Amino acid sequence: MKWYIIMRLAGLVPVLLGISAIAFFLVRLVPCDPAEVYLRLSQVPPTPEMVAAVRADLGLDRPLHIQYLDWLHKALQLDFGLSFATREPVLAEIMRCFPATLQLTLASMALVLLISLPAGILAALYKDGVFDQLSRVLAFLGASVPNFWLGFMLMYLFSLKLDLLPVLGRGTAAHLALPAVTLAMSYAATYTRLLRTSMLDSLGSNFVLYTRARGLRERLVLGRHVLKNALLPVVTAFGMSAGHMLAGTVIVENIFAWPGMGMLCVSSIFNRDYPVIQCYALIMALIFVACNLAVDIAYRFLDPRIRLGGGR
Amino acid sequence: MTVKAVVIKLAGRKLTAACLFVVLALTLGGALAPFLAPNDPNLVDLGKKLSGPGPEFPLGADHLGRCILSRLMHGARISLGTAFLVMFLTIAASIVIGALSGFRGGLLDGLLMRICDMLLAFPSLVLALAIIGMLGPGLFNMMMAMVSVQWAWYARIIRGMVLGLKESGFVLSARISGASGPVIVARHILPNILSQIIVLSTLDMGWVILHISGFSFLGLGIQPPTPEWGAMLNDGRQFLRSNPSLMVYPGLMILMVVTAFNLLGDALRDALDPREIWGENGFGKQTSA
Repeated sequence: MKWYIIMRLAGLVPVLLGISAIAFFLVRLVPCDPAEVYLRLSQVPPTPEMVAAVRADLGLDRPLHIQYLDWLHKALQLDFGLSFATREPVLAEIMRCFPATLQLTLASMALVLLISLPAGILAALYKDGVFDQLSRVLAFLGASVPNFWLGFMLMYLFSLKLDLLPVLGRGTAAHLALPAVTLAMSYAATYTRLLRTSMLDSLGSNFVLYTRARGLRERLVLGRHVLKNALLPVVTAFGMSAGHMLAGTVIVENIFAWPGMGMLCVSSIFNRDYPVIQCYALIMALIFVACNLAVDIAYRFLDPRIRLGGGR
Repeated sequence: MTVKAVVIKLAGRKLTAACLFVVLALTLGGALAPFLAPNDPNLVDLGKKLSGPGPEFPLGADHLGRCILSRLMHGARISLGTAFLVMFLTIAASIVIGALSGFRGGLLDGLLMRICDMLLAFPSLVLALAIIGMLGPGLFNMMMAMVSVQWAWYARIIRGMVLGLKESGFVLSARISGASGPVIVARHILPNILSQIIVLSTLDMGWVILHISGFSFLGLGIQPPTPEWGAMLNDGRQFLRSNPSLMVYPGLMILMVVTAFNLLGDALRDALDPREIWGENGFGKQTSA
């Protein structure tokens, strides 16, 4: 197991280098001179002399590979430069917003589990029953409903009409409710169906037949044998979704004025604050890769078949 | 299975037939919007702002006195048209890259697939946002961002399909008879994988439409006053309290068309590949919009 983790970590090096290269070259996509944008944002008229001075200051006048290595060197020391708009270190700015985004994502993940675990189990146990049909319809709606619309409809109903929850902002648990539900909806629908399918597979397998032949109580059969196996694919998918959910907060944060990384990213796009956008993309990709790694390791840990049968 | 047989099989099921009808009606309605729409979608008449449904405006008017129905119809033209174009460009790029990678193999294959791996290491929404952030908001830039994010996923799948067919008898015969690489790919391999690519792209159309309207909602895609559903939602958000219908209609349109495409994609998958059962492996790609 230890060997496996070391191998996986070593295998990440090229991926991380690739991610850093993409993040670095993203700024090369900018159709105008970043030095000029920097001057304009500082309210300085961009004369050729000033632009040249800023280019030298930002290191833009050096060969590309030197710039990349220099950027990488600084990035490894967590120095991502200064924001064009606020002149603050980019990382500090992103870290200021990170807790809000993390809170929203974790709350949504908890909601997804709270909804999809019981719903998926019930849908599998009463296959083709009313509940199963209902969950099928909800799953399809969940996968199709635009969450930027769902958010506003929930806001209209619960905040404006019924006046139960606050409309915008962050603060109390009540503020968290609507954004978390909006973000969780499509995932809850997907996971309900995924767990249902996986439960049904598990229910039809020979080891379940054997536990029943042994005369185990139904609760024990379901809890200890069926569910344990059925949860494996859900765990994998869930880890992958964590990265997507973190990214998906962009839209939800903008609906509910939730002061997280998504809000920061969109406002940076409008401000042409390139270092912030670059750092946002890099950090999101790193989190995404870390989630996938965690899932792989957890999967090996949870499933002895892979650990024992699949080599080291 | 011939195209005719697939269509007959699809139309035989009520739900699928309904989805097919929704997609065709909206595509046609969108395409013919300039002739069918009751009013000019961009004609501002502040005297009639936020007016309710009536003979002149069947669904009422928005905050600038523009006909909502006409804007929804033109919105179908823009939302669906952009989605089709994004899908077409993505598929075209990934067929070229996937076929090149799979058919040629060797160093080029390794290089292209490593680039795919790097792109796939990013959550797609984040990478698309970053590319739009660098290029600047706008329709063209949004399309470029979506294509550059999506192609890697398809190129990998198409490469796999090409690899599977590369050593088959009919490809070897074509090779022996002296056909060149591009001819073999275009004439012999492509027709064999096209149906699978169409299924994949139909399954993904909903995802593409959600992202296009999502970006436009954020103000990063299609810009006002162009009548696009996501942008209309963004326009209507300040009137949520007083005139929620400004937000209800565009949202319902998106919901309807995305549901139709998702169901249609699933039905197509069943019709073309009976081994796969509905819902067995989730909903295509991650729906994160």
